[in-house]
Amino acid sequence: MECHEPSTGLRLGVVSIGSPVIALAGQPNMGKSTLFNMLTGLNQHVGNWPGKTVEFKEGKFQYGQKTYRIVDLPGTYSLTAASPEEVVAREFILREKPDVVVAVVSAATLERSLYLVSELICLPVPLVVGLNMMDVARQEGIQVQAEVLQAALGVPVIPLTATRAEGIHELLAAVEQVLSGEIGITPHPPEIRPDHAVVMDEVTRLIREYNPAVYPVGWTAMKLLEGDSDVTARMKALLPPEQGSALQDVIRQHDDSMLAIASGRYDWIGRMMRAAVTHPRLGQISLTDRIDRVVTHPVLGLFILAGILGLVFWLTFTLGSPLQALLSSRIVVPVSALASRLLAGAPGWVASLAVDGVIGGVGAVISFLPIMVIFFAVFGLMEDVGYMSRAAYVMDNFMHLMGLHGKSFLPIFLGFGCNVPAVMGTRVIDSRKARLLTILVAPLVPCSARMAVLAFITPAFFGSRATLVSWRLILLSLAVLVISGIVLNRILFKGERSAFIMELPLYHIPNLRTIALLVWQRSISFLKKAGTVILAMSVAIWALSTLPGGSLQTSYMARLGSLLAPAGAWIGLDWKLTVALLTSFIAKENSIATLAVLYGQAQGAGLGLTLASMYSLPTALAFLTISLLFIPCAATVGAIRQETGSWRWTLLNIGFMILVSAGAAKIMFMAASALGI
Amino acid sequence: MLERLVAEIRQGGTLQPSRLAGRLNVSVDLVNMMLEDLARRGLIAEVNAACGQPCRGCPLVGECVSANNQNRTWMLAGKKG
Repeated sequence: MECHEPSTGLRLGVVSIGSPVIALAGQPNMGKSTLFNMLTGLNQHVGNWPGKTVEFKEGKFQYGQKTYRIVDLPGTYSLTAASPEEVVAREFILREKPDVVVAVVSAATLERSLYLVSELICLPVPLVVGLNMMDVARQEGIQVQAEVLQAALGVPVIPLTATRAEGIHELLAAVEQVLSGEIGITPHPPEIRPDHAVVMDEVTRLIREYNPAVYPVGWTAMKLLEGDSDVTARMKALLPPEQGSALQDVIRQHDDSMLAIASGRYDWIGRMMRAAVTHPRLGQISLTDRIDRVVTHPVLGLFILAGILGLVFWLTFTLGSPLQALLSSRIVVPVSALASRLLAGAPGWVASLAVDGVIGGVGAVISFLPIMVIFFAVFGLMEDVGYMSRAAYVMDNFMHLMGLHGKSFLPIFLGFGCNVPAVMGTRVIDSRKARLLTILVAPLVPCSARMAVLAFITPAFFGSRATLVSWRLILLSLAVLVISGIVLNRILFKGERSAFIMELPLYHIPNLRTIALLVWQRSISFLKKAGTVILAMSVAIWALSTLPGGSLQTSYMARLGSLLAPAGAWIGLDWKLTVALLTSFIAKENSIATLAVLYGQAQGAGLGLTLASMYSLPTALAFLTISLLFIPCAATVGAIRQETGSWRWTLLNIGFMILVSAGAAKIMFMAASALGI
Repeated sequence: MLERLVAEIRQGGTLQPSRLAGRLNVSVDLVNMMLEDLARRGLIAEVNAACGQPCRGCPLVGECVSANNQNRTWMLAGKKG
C-alpha cells in the first residue's frame, strides 16, 4: 500500500518555529494519558476540539534545553471516520502537522495496537513507537524484540513501562534525534496488491487536481477505496460532476478494494508479529485446544455428547430415583395420610380435593425435585466447565452434516433447557423460511421438564436398565429431529449452507458456589411452577375426574377419555394415559400429576409401582416416546404463535408434532410388541 | 488475509476462531480483530447466544441452560464484500 508520496523515506531536520509539537496517538487504555501526565505534570489544560464534543489535552514540558508542546490525541483504534475521535485524531495530524507523532502501543496486546500504527505510518509525519506495558507483556511471557520491530517498521521503537517511568528518557531522546535528523526514518507501510494498486492509481489520477492540499493525494485515494464516509463526502463536494461520476464508477467496479486494503494491513500486522513477537502457548489455552480436538471433533464429539447424556441419566437413576422414591414414601404419603385424618370430619369432596387433587398432583411433581436437582447440577456443571458451548458446536456440525440450517444451532441449544427460548431464539435467523423450519423442529429437542418425566417413569418399568432406555429414547428424539430437519430442508431449503463462527470459552475448574446458586435458582423456579400451574391443573383434573357424580368411571374426564380412547389405543395407550398426555400441554410435568390424581397415588405405595403394575413395557415405551415428541407445552405454543405471527403455522406445527409423535410411538409400540420386550 | 478469512467463512459451516487462526497461520487475537472488523463492515453480524430480550417474560427462564452464555458468536450477514 504505497500511501506515502513517491519518496521512499522522510529525511527530517526541520525544526518547528517555536516549540516542537508532539502528538500522542494510541488506542484507549494503552497508557497514553499516563505518559502525558508524567511529562506535563501541572502544565496542561483540557479543552474541546472546535465543533466537536471530543475532549483534548495539551501541555508542555522541558527536555534537555528544549521546551516541547505535547497534544494527547483522543484514543482511537484506527483512523477511519467511524467515530468523532478518529476524525479528530487524523484531522489534527494532517492539518496541524505535528513535528512527531508518538504512537503508544501495548507490548501485551501488540496486534490490536498495530492496526492504528499501520495507518499512522502512512501519514506524512515522522512516527516514533512507544512500546508500552513491557512489564505486563513480560508477566504474560510475551517477548517483544523492540529492535526487530524497529527494523520491520522502519521507525524508532522504544520499550516503555510508563507506570514506572521506565524508558521515558529513551523515548524523548529518540524524539529529539528524529527532530534533529540524527535518526533517519524509512517507514515500511502495508502494501497493496498490484491489481488494486492500478485502481488506486486511477482514483489518484481522477482526484489529484481537486484534492485539498492538506491531505496527501495517495491517502485520500486510499480512503476513498476504503469507503471512508468523511473523505467520500468531502470529495463528492469538491469534484466536478464528470469526475465525481467517473470516480463512483471506478469505486463501484472495484468494491473489493475495501477488503483488499484492510487485508493488506492485516498481512502487514501478521508479518510484524511473526518477526518481533514470541507468543507463549499458555498452558490453559494449549490444554483447551488439546481437549477440543477430541471434544469438538465432528464424529468423536457426537459420541462424547451421547456419552455425557448417558452419564446424566446414570447419575439421575443412581442418585435421583432412590431419593425421589424416598421423598414420595416418607413425605408425600405421610402428608397425604395426615391430611386424610385431619379432614376425616370434613365433607368427602374436601378430603378428596386435598388428598387426591392437591397433594396427589402437586406431591407427585414435587417428588421429582431430586431428579431435577441432579439435572440442574449436571447441566450447571457442564456450563461452568465450558462444555455446553462445545455441545452446541458439535450439534451444529451435526446439523450441517444432515442439511439442517446452520443458524438453527442457537435455538437447538436453548431447547435443552426450555422450548420457549428455543422458539424465541429463532429471531437470530434472518430468512423467514429458515426461521419457520427451525421453529417447526425446535420443540423436538427434549426440554428439562420432558427429561424429568422420562426420568420418573423409566426406573419404575425398566429398573437397572432405566439409564440405557432413557438414553436411547433421548437419542431417538434427536434422531427424529434430524430426520424431520432433513425432510423439511429438502422441501424448503434445497441444501443452503450458512456460516457460524463460535467463540468457545476456555475450560476451567468449576466453581461449586456458582453451580449451587444455579441449582438453587432453578429449583425455586421449578417449585414455583409446581405451586402455581401444576397446582391449578391438578385441581382441574381432580374436578373433571370427580364431577359430576363423585366416581371416576362416570366423570367428565372418563367421558373425555372414552372419546380419545380410540386414538390412544392406536398406539397402545388407555384413556388415562391419553388424558395424562393431553394435560401435558399445559406443562410437561402435568402428565405425572394427572396420573397421580387418576390413580390416587398419594394413598398407595407410589405412582411408579402402580403404573408398572398397570401397563406393559411396550405401552410404557410408546407413552414415553409420545411424551418426548408430543406437542410442546402451552407456553411454547404461545411463543410459536408470537414468533410466526400466524395461527396457520402454529396449527401446522401442532399437527406436525402430533403426526411425528404418534407415528414414532406407533412404531415403538409395534416394535416393542414384536420383539417381546 | 482478511480476504482469505472471508473466503473461509463463505464456505459455510461452523467455525471456531482458534481453528481459523490455525488455517490462516495467525494468532486467535488477530482472527478476533478481523472478525470485529468484518462486523463493522457489515459482512458478518454478531449474534447474542445468551438468552436475553427474547426470553423476557418466559416463566421458565430460570431453568434455561444458556441464560449465562456470554461467548461471542458471529454469522454471515447479507452484505457482500
